[in-house]
Amino acid sequence: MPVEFGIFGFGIGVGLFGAYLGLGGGLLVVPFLALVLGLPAKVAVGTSLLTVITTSTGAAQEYLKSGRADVRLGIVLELFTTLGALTGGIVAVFLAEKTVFLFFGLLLVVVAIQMLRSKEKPDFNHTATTGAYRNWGWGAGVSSLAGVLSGVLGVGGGVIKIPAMNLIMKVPLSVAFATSNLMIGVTATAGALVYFSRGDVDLKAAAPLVLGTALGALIGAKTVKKVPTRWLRYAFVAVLLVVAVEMLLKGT
Amino acid sequence: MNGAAEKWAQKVLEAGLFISLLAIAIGFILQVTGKADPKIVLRTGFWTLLTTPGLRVFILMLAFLREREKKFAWVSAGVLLVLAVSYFIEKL
Repeated sequence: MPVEFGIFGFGIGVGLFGAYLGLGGGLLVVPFLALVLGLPAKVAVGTSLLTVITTSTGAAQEYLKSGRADVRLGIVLELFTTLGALTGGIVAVFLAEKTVFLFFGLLLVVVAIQMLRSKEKPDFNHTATTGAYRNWGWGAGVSSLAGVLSGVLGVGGGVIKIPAMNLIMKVPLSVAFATSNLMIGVTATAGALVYFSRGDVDLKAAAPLVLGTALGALIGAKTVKKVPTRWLRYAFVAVLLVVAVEMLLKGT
Repeated sequence: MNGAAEKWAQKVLEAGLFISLLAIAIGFILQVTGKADPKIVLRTGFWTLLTTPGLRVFILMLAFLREREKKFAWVSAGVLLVLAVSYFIEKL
């Protein structure tokens, strides 16, 4: 069986997990490309960003249709996330492979802890209403940081943006969730353009990965209500921790 | 905005994703079968994917201008500028 079919199958899994747990996929894709396929860390990050754009674009349509994503809040924070991602994309060139692995491993540990502590799913009763949000300066600062993270590590950065919007800016969780998803596509594009124009993207791995992820996300969106996400969450945390150990070992 | 801009933005994302995935799928088939060089088709697909979020920002910028929400229109233009810099920075 050609390796492309294996990548395609992995992509389906990423899309399913993403749809069930509200993730962009970068957390799994980068370790897979770097540890399993043996791609250089920079190429793994650049290729992962294409997957992140795909999942975000697919999800963002739904959030725009339902009116949950706040386009004004999104566009303001996008200015800072894209600036961060651009900076991250440039800085990544100067980072040693080991440093990328180390940061990624630490990020996985943080995400695993956050997933264990967070609620099952956001309450989707709110719709977007700009105006009542607070602490825009802090929101902008944290968004820049999320952008840097996206540019350096090839992830969406929602793990930072969503709690920041909710806790610091007082954005309802469901609106923060939807707006973050809307923003991730643009943020990842800023980072991906840097990697793409530098040639740090493996198109032959990206094609089956992107297609598999899109298919997995589609199946996931249709079956999400039938799946017990609680146990899936625990399983995912276990996977994250195993991958985190692998990444940390490679980074030290 | 009365929801029309969001609708247009949503349509742009939908169409962009469909076209890019179609091109990538064709490229993938060429890649697996080895009947032709998939590079151009794949690049077309990925470029469409990469321009789709920016196009969504552009649509929103036009909508903000139409609604005379100049502050948000300027911010949208700023985002587009950052995206342009992201592409050209490696060529400088």
